[in-house]
Amino acid sequence: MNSDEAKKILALYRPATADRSDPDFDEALGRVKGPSAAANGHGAPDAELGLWFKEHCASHLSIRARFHEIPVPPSLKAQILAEVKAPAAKVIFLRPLALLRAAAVLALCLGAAALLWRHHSRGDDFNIYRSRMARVAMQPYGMDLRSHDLRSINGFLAGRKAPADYVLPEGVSKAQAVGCAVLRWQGRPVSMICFRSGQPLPAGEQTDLWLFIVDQASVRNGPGAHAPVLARVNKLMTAAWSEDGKTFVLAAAGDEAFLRKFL
Amino acid sequence: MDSLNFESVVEQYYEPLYRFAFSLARTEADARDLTQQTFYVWATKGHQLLDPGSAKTWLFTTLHRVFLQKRRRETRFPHEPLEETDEQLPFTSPVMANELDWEQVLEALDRVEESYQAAIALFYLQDCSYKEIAQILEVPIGTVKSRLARGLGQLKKLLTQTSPSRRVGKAHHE
Repeated sequence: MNSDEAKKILALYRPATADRSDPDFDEALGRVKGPSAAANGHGAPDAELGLWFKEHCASHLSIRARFHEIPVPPSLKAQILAEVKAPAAKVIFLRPLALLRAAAVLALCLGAAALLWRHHSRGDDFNIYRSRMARVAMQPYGMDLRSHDLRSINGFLAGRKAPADYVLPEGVSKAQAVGCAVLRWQGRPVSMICFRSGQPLPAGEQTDLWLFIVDQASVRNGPGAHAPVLARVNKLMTAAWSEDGKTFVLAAAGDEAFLRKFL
Repeated sequence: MDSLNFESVVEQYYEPLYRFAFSLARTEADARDLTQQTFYVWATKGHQLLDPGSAKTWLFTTLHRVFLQKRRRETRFPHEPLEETDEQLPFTSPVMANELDWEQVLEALDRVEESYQAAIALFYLQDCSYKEIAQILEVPIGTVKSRLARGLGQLKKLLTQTSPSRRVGKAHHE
């Protein structure tokens, strides 16, 4: 192995990591080590390569440090924990031998847990609901029905026992409907109706305005009937209100002024 | 029975996951979204893991998959083509790298060929073994190494161009 070959290999070497014990680097590392390495059959250390390697390690650590300086939002951890509440919070790993016993215990517990869950759900906070729905809008999803006709959309939603009897805000009623999907929240159906705001859509997108409707009783601490509550949820601006026993969340890819056009 | 408490998993991984997400998505909103979605998937499907030791790889793999799904829906901005990487990797001195801030490093990463970016971010961020990087990106280990060799070459070339000392140097000569 000559010096250039060693450099090519060592360019992927990261100091102070498990790369030290990666056999792929052994021979190249041997060339930069001192007399003891030479004595072990690696040949004489290569001074120029040694200098290059020293600089490489320092450069790596320096760039690595820049990556680790990317600031993490202080509220992120709390937001993650708030969204995924206790029922889903404990992830248990089972060894194969314990699976059978655990399954039996689980079966006994499930009935009781299901009953408790109905009365004691801790995941029905409105903020969590709004955050979850906003993320649905931003993630890849398939519409259950594609249609510009709101009557067809409402008929489809009603057929799936999802909220279909509602009054659209004036602004939204002027937007073009493109389809809908039925989601689930705490076991209850949520109607998601997708619209086009009229502004140019990014390539591949079919919608930039989403209306989520759920029974008001499904969401604890939801908004009242008064003026919509506006809040940014990551990339989306949202407005939420309750009316006629239903809770509405309107989400748009834009700022507050843009969203207000649809209220 | 081994157990992993959700909060302890969040505590251990939310920062590196967010930084990985930010390296890929480049905006706080998208990085938050990716990180939250990853933990949501973990909370609903993480129990399917039989080996608690693979939690880290699982989380990073999930985040990368969610990112790719999102990316497929979004406009792809054409990348400014870079010249072929030199055989000899360009040299970025430690002094030069110290003069840069994280935003400049990520701007440079953004200009590296897209298929190399995730491997580079994992290379610097997570101290993952090459085997782990291959698992996370779901490609063979040889592919990881070749992506890194080329990607690091491009990154270092771009960092050399970005370096303030180089810019100052150029100004003096102009």
